[in-house]
Amino acid sequence: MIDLLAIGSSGVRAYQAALAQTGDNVANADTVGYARRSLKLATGPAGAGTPLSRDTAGGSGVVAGDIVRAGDALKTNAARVASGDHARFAARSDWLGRLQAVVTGSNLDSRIGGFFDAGTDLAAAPTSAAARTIFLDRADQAASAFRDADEKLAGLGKDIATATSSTVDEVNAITSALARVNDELRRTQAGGSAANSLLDNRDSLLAELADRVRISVTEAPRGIVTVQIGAGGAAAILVPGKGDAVRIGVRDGASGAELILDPTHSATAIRLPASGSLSGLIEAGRQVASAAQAVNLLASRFATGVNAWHTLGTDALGDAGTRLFATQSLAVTPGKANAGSASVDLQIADGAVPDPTGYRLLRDASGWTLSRNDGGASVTGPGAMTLDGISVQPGTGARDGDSYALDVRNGAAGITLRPVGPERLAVAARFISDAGAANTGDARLVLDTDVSAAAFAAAPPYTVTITGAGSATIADAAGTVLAALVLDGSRMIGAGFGFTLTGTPATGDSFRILASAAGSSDNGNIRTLARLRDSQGAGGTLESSLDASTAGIASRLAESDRLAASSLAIKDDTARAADAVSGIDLDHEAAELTRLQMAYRANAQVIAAARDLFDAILGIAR
Amino acid sequence: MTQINTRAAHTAAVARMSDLSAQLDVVQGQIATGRRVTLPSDDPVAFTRAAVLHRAQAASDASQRSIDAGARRLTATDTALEGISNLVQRARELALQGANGTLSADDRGIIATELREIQASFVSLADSRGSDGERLFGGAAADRPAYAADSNGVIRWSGAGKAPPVPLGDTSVASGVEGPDAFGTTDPATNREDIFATLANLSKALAEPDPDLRDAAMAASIGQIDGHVTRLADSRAAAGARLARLETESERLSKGKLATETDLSKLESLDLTEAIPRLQRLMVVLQATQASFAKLTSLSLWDSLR
Repeated sequence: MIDLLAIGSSGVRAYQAALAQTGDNVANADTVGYARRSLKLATGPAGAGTPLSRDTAGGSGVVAGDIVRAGDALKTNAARVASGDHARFAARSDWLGRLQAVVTGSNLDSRIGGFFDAGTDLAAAPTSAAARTIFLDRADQAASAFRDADEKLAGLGKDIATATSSTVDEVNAITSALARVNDELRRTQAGGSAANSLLDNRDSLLAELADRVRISVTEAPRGIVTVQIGAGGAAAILVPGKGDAVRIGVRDGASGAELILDPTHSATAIRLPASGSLSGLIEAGRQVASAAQAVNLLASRFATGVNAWHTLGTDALGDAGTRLFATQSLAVTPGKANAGSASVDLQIADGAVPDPTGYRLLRDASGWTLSRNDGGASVTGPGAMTLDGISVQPGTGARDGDSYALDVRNGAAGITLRPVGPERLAVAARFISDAGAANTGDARLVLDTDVSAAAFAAAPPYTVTITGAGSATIADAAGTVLAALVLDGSRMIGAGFGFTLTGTPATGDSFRILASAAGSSDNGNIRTLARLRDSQGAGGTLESSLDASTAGIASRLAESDRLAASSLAIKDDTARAADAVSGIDLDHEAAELTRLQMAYRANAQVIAAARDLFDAILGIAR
Repeated sequence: MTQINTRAAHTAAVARMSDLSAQLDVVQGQIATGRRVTLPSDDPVAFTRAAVLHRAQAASDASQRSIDAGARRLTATDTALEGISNLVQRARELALQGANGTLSADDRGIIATELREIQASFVSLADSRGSDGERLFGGAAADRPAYAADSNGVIRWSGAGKAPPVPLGDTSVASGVEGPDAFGTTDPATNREDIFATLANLSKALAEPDPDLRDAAMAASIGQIDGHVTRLADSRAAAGARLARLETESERLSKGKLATETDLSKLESLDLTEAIPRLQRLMVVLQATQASFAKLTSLSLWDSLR
């Protein structure tokens, strides 16, 4: 009777607790990281019939046991790995998409093409001022496209570096939080509500960590975890079961950024983890660096080629062509410890060649000092000063001790159009030739510019006269014979030019070789610009090597997109499998609620029955 | 027992619908631009090929412009040569008239006056300019008159080199005719004369009072003029041949351009007959997904609990 009352009340208490747990499940139906809990019910303890513990005949009711967290360690781990895989490909595809936008957005391809096409237009109208101006403008556009591409790539590289270091910070924050959770778990009683919250917390942290780096998790009793970076027995430990987490960092390695363990104490490089957004970021960073390098190589090749071509011609004033592009510039970087806010204006004189080691500008009590980094030269002054053709003009607001680094930039960042006027474009070939009108043979003289040729002292114009079968002379304007020539079809050299005679000349035929004069409408030099366009170098022509590097980025991006899409599907599947175990199904909870409610009511009836029995007993006594 | 996690099921259904919307957006964008490849990563191989073709197109446009410029120059040269031919023909008629012994000195004076006009017209035609102000007959030295009197007062060609050739791939076509080739050269040693000298000699012959000397000089001039007529005809034929070559090249370019355009549209263009059904299919699927989602989420055991 008393037993029955006790049994009923134990049932009411147990089902109340179970109902409360179901209510908690329903309340947390949408909480991320919450694992479904259920109350484990157990038969009440029965004693052995000793004076201290009674052996009851009718059972001893029910007790509410541990609260069990639903979960499947294997499925959770699979979901974590799949999520990390997706994070890696998604990060890579996101940043490669931006890289592709930068590479195609700089329009390098059409600017370089536009430059060469303007050359074709100029060849058709060598004396047209408009065609010359357009050609120069296109050259400027090509140079600025290179600078623009370089600047954007550098910006993108910097963004990736920032994202990488903030991801590293996040990883370090998560691992130290995990180390604290391990500590808490060690102190907390297992199976309680506090321990379950800690385990939820632990699983969320592990999921976040796995999104960033590939981890392997080993679980000890009480839910304490040991986390290793990467997989396999030799994987380095990030979070030990007991003690502090090991930090990670990123440094510049031989092939771009590399991951290191314990950066502040004993930095050791580790292999790039196979999944996680950090890997995706580092891979994208390497890709950006290689794209920037390709653009730099291309810029150098373009500028060197165009400069070499242009110096072979003669401009509209009759002078030899100069370099069209400057290939170096200086970048000013204020010192990190600068207290002042002065800006520095910088100018490189045309034709000045900055020292490759760079320069340093320092402010002290006596004024400013500009010194070459190799220690070879320096100038001191109160303000503006010039060294090696580099003029600096420090602004106001500098403090003593402020310093500025002046680094030489080559490649794409350094390419600029030199101050070349339209009349200074070397469109004409250095030398032109014509055949005497009275020639009776059908020979033609084919000229080429050869700066190193010096068979005799330069004295244009020259006349080549055929003196007999297989022999000729070359004479200056006064008729003085400079050299006798043997006509065997081979190339002959003069002063600054070489030539061949094709066809059959007749004795007495003559050819003139003249230096291009001012105002010449010859297009000999600009016609050879097409050869530069077609010239083969590393990766083919200028334009095809650019195409190849764009296509390389594009195909890697397309591959990353595909991998991101397929890994997303796997991520979804594994997440659903894990959630099916640990997640909340509201219909299921509703059914549970009904079931528990009924059990509760039945137990209340047991108490009522016990009371009825009690009343009956009291009735007998009365 | 497999449970359906309510939250995960919701998220998955929403993700499926967003995925469908994203696919719809891609197809819609392709239809709006009419292009299948908008970014290199859409199809790296097609993009690279298309980049080459775009470049070929721009280059062939530039080549076409330079062919047009060369053709303009050659046409202007031909027009000038035609004018000069007419002048030389007229000079020949005048010379034949002047050689007639029955003419009086006054009549020869009238002929001489017309000959002076012809000389002046010839001098101006020999210095003809092209569209950029360049001398057509000066070769590469186009900024100064093609012909000028030397220290002895003899008019000589002051040009140099050749007119800028039109580059056609590996070869090139001369875009003009040089003065000496069309008008001849003066060389007393070989009894050569250019048109300037012939016209001057003809004027001199008309003024010659001695009939015997005059007849001989007139006959020599007529002989020279016959030579000039032939040379001018040859020059015009040469200019015409060069023009014809440019035209052939121009035709080849436009054919090539058409082929390039076809290739490009194959590479980049969207097949609308395939894209529009795809769009419709996706729309139907999205609508069905939305409807079934709405139906399924409205089902709940909780509604049945009282």
